[in-house]
This record gives sequence, C-alpha cells and structure tokens, in this order.
Amino acid sequence: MKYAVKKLVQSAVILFFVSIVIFLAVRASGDPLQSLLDPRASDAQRAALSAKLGLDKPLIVQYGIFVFDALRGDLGNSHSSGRPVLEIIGEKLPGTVVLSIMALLIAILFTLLLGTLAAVKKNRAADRIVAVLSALGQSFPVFFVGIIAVQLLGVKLRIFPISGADTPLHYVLPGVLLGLCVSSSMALVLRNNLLAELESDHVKFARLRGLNERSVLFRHALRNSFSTVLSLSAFIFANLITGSIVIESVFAWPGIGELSYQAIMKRDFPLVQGIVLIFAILIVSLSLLTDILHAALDPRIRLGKEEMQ
Amino acid sequence: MTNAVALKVKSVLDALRHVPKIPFAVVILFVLNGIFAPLITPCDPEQTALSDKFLPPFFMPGGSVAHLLGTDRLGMDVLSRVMYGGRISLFIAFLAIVAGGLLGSLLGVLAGYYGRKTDKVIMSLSDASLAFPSILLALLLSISIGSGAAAAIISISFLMWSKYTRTIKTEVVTLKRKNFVTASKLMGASDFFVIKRHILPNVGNVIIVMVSIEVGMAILSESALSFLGLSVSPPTPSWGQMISDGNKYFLKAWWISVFPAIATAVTVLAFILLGEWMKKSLGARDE
Amino acid sequence: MNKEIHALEIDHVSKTYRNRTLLGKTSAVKIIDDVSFAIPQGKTLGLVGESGSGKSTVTRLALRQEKPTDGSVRFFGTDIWRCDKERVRDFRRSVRMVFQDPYSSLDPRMKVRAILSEPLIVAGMDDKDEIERRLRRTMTKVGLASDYLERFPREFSGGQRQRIAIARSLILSPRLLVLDEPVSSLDVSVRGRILNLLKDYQRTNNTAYLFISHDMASIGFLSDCIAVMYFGSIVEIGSADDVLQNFRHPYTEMLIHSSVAASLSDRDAEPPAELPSHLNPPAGCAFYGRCAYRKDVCSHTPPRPAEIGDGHFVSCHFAEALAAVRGKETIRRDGEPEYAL
Repeated sequence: MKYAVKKLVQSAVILFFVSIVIFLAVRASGDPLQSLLDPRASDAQRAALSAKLGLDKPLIVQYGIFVFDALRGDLGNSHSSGRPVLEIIGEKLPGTVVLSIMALLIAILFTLLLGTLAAVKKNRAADRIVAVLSALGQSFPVFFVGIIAVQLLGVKLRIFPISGADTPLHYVLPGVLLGLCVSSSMALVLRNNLLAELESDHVKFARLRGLNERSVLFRHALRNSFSTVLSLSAFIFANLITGSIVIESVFAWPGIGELSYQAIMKRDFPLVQGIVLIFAILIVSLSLLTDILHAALDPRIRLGKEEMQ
Repeated sequence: MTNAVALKVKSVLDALRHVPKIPFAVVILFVLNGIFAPLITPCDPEQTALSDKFLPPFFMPGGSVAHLLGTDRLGMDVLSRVMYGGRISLFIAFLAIVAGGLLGSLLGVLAGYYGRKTDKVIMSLSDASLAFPSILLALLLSISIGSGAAAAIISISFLMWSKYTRTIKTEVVTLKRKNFVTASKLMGASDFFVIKRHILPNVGNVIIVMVSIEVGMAILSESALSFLGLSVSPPTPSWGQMISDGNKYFLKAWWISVFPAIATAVTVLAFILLGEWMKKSLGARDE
Repeated sequence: MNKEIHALEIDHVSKTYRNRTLLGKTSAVKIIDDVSFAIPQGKTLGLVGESGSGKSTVTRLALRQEKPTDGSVRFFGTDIWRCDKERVRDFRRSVRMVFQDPYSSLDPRMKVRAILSEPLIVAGMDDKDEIERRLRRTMTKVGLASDYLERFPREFSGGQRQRIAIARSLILSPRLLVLDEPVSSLDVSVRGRILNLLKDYQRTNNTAYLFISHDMASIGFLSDCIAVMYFGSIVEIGSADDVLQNFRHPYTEMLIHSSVAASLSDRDAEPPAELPSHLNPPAGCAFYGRCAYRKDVCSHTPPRPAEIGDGHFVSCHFAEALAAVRGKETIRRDGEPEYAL
C-alpha cells in the first residue's frame, strides 16, 4: 500500500512536468491565429479573436486556466470546430484503443506460441526460424508491412477492406499485422526467459517430483516468464496508441492518430494539448499500474531493501 | 611511440577476426555509401525525366540498365535515390544518437555518481520524457521550426536519451562501489578526476553496445518520420518518404516502395546483429 | 614533558547510525561504542574481530570517510575534523589504504603505470622524470619487474595484484597505512611474502600501520600492539606479547584457539559468528551468549575496561580469575623475519 501511494505521487509529479512541457511546446509551435484568420484580416479583428480565445492573457495565467480546467474535465473547445475537446477525443479514441487491444492480444498469442516453440526446440530448426522471423519483424518498418498487406490482400486480391473501420472484417488486417510485428520483439524475450526458467532450480525440483514435461512447462516456467511479457505489454500498448498516427494513415483508420495529425496541421491548440495530455495520462497510468502489479507479485520491490533485513 | 600504435592496431585486427562477417560488411557498406554517395550514384537523385517515369527495374521487361532499379513517378532514378536516402538516414541517425546518447550518458553518469537528489531529479525527467510521445513532438516541432533534418534529429534524440541514462546509471552505481574508486577518493582526487579517469572509461563499453543496437532504432524512427513527411522534404530522397510515395502506385510500380524498404530492413538488421555480437563479445571480455 | 605524538589517536569514539523510516520513526544503531586506541609512529596496531565487530567502521573513521558521533580522531596530533582544508589535504596525502580484495581495487582499464602514477598526479606532481623514478623505485620495493608497468591488472595473479595495490599505497611514502585484511584473499603460500614485504617496509620507512584481520597468526607477525574488538567495543587491548600470550578475555582465547586449530589443519580460521542484534543490544556483556565462563553478573552488567598490566586493558568481570584456570596454548612470536607459527 505504502508503495502504491509513493508511486502515485511520483506519477502525479511527472504528469505535472509533462503538462508544463505540453503547454509550452504547443504555444511555441506557431501562431494559431494564422490558420483561423484571413491573412488580410485587420488588427482589430485579430485582437478580437485573440481575446475571445483567451490568447491575450499572460502565459502563466493561461497555464493556470489550463490546469484548473483540465482537473475539472474541461479541456477547452477545439479552435477549428468549436466543439469540446474531450468530446472529440472521446469519439475517436475508442477506435484506436480497440484496435490496439486487439493487436496486443494477437501479439501475446503469437508471442506465446512462437516463444514457447523456440524455447522448447532450442537450437533446432524451429528455434532458428523464429529467431530469423523475429529479427526480420524488427527490421522492416511496420508501415511498410502494412502497405504490402493493404496492397496485396486488400487492393489486389480484395479479401479485406482497405479503409475505415465499419465492419469486423476491417479489424482483421491491421490487427493481425500489428500483432505480428509487435510479437516479433516479444517472442525472443519470452524464449530467453523461458529457457532461464527451465534451467532454474525450482523447475528441476518439479521434474524430480515426477511432473511430466508438459506440466512443468505450463504450470511453472510459463507462469513466471509471463510476467515479463505482461510488463512489456503495457509498454507496447502505450506505443501502439501513441504510434497510431503512422498506422492509421496506412489503413485509413479513423482514430486518434489521424485526429492528431489534422489537429496539428490546423494549429488547433486546445485539441493538440488535450490529445497529448490524454496520451501522457495513459502512459503514466499504465506504467503506474505495471509497477504496482509487479510490486504486488514480487515482495522484494514492495518492502524495499532495508525492511527485508 | 609507434610500438603502442602497432599494438593497438593489432588488437583491433584481432578483435575483428571474430566479427560476424555479413552484418559487418553491410554496416561498412552503409557507412561508405553514406560518405561517398554524391560521388558514386549513377544518376543525379533529384533529376527528373518525365519521359522516363515508371520504368521497371532492369531485370523486368521494359527496364533498362541505365536505371537498374527503375524510376519513380517523376522519372527519378530509384537506385540513386535509395543510395542518397541511405546517406540521409546515416546522417540523421548518427547525429540523433550522438546528441541523445551523449546527453543521456552524461545524465546517467551524474545520476549514478552523485545519487540521491541528483538521481531523483534526473530519473523523474527521464520518466517524464517517456510519457511524451516522440512522434507528437516531431509533429509539434514541424510546425514551429519546420520539418527537416534538424527536427528529425531533435525528435529522435529525445526518444532515445532516457534509455542511456537508465542503463549508464546502473553501471555507474555498481562502479562507484568498487574499491578502486574508493582508493582514488581516499587519495583526495576530485569528483571530476574520478569520473574522468575511472567511471567514463569503464562505461565506454556499455555505451558502444547501446549505440550499435540503437542505430537500427534510429534509422527506423527516421523512416517513420519521413513516411509522415516530417523529415527532409522532397525532392531530397529519404527511405520512409519513398515508401510513402510509392504507396499510391504500389500495384503499378512496386519497386518504388520495395527497394527502399529492403534497404532499410537490411541495414537495420545488420546493426542489430552487430550490436548483439558486440554485447556478447565485450561482455565476455570483461570477465 | 614531551609527550610523543602518535600517528593515529582514536579517542573515546562512538558511531551511531540513525535510520528514519517513512512514518517518521527513528531507530538508532550504535555500531561503535567508546573505542580508544593509539598507534605510535612507525608501529603497527593489529585490530582483530569478526565481521560485524565494527572494524570496518573503525577503518572508515580512521580514513576520514565517516565522522564520529562522539570522540575525536587525531592524526599526528591534529583533529582531522576540526582543521582547515590544507590539513585535510595533507592528511589525504599521507594516509593510504590497502583493500582486502585485490580484484576490485585496481581499475581494470588502466595499465599498472597509470594506476601507480595516479597518487602522484593527484598530489600535483608533474615532473615526468621524478614520476618515472618513483614508479620504478616502488616497483622494486614491492618486488615486481619494471616491465610490468605496461601490463593490465588482469594479467596478474592475486598476490601480484596485491603487490601493485601496496605499491600504489606506498608510492608517496605515507605516514599511516590502513591494511584491511590484505592477505585474507590470498593463497596461504603467498601470504608470508606479502607480510614480510610489509614488515620490511615499515622498518625502513617508519610508517605506522593499522592492520585489520580476523586471523590471529598474521596479526601476531606484524603487530606491536593488538586490539580485540567484539560487537563494537574493544574487549582487550595491549602489547602483542600480552594479548597473544597473556590474554585474559574469553573472546581472545576463542580466537587464538581457533586460529591454532586452523593452522594445524591448514584451513582458514573464522569461527561462526552469532552476534547479538544491533537493534536490540544486550543489557550485559555482549559476549555472554558464547562465553564459556559466563556467570549471572555477565548478563546484566556490562564490563568496563580494567588495566591488568602495563598498558594491557581487558573488559571482563573475571579477567584476573580466569588467568589461573586457563590452558597454555599461545602463539609464539619469534624474532625470525619469517612467517612462522
């Protein structure tokens, strides 16, 4: 419990720092009035719009308003569409999240399959193949693999649709592809972890007790290696969400990636701010969760070194 | 004097004997290509020739030897553009790693050596940077300072530095406990002296290994950025951007996307393998 | 009256660690309790004790790595915590340490030449010829060939590395050398040579030694005075002859016996440590739990140091009484320059 509180405070501090950075970065990234106004607009019109959007107040005040509102759940209104930022994000975020979760699940599945296979058939053909596939998966740019899939399976062979997210079929291609690419890095990690587990003392002990190999594998070795996979998953999930910009442009997927791209092009401060803030909250909460989960499972972290003596 | 040099050369050559040959050759090729590209490309990579657009590679019907890998929609030679794109990737990846790696390592050394408060501050900065998605940073930068090599370098180095900090800090903490560091401090050596003379040389290995593995990541990141149009702008060739370009005509002229993709994959793979080997061999030597 | 200035004087020194937990509770652990000893110039004080006895802390206090909670640490008359920066710098230049582990005390990335030059460079010496001269002279003193200067630590054996470490500590002719179990990690066959090296150096250079060990035999060979520590206090201190042949404290007896037994069977002597807990120190004598002669009074009254001979102090209620009952096993100190038992 103490540990959780400590971590929570740490996370809050981090978010605080991040919010400052976001605020400053967005402000520094250009003049929002430029894209909203006709370049021939008069100074008076410019001043009026500036006042309306609250851009004429000193920076500190703007930051204060930003934080205060955010804590109440109000992330402002989009400059371009006038609608509340939170609402817009709420519309587009689920699409990305769903896809990411699906990709993650597929990735975990593949990781388990391939990683276990590689560990069990250590140094034989299957292991080598998995190693090669894994290396290839990490070397090819993800979006290229997506392009090939879209072009070959979508356009040429017309098996899968190539844009939008309307039918379940739409989810297959991006989900599977992403899952495969992501699993390529996790599979090797799992393999190594499993191998270490299989050589460990308590597995040897289990074998001595007479458990057959399959039991040993599933009940003992996998269970322990799985936690590594889990913590990697959190990290990868965060990456999937934040990296959605790239994926969504390949698959024309209506999610937050596309939204953020548009927002930045239009210099929509509140929207960009809101998106990055949501991302940051997501990442920080995810790492907080993983830390707490780890601590709950591994008493060493929770108690700290001093108290164990 | 020359004796010492000769000994050093000999030890380097000895080490090279065990290098995995193919990845090493690829890496050397990549670097040489990057340096000498302007001199060795068969055509000017930005030379358009609308009469020759969409020429297939030479091994397909309709291809010609003048354009070994075909041309794109503006008639620019794909091979030359791939080579030049490699130069850009090398440039950006290298600078990003130097910037990120130097900064990250330095912060790691400080955090590990001074511990406690310094450690806490630096680590929370590092955690905070992880929370900030780098692609968004790139997008933000693109509208404030424009896109281009500088923006790409800044974004990529921002993505990388915290990894160095974390790893180096752990190493430094272990080193600090060793008796030879205590001995130096007992002699009255200043912190600066101890760091320069004992800490840095001993983390050098770790940095080298990390760098060689990270180069692959940097190249992939640059590729993603240029795919989105956030790195160098056309007509300057860049692998990711070429892939993006070729996307529209994929079924008609697949070579525009495929060759830069292969180049990327091969290069990244070579760096990864080389990095793994370095980790193994430098790790073993320290025993 | 001209009182001779000692190289090192530890005067009624105590060290307490305070630990503050998250909830504000403090726990205090007294690692060292009222420890006093003095090392005359050019002489050796042997400090014996098991792990946990506090000898490492004494080392750190002597080296100015930690500040005593009570008491003073004096180096050639100067309190090292109440002097100016210049004196501290002198101190750092004149005190050196040799560590137990020869493998972690040398920077693996530095050539021997660089390792040995470091003290000279830190002290501000820049005359290249002078540096070279000192390097060679010191290498000869520790019995290593000059061309070893170009090698790396990994090319040497444990004994040789320890010689390099000793060379590093001697290169600026220190006035006090702290030796923390310098031969414990070495092969028994090598120990004798290293100890002889140290003894010879002391004779010619008049350097004071603080020699820490758990092995009575090597302590006996090198020391002029011996202090026995247990659970943070000195239980017996006196001249080497007194402590080795006329010992009074039951703990000293135990150490000597196990040392003799170990040497007879060619093993290392380290009796199993069953120390009381620092967080819950016993009310009476700390050695009560393991003492063969304990009586009731020992469990509730801590013994105070009593002088039973010239400069020979013992902290035991029954020091005098036990002298009569004791067996006659001792460690003989020959005048021979060989490590002999």
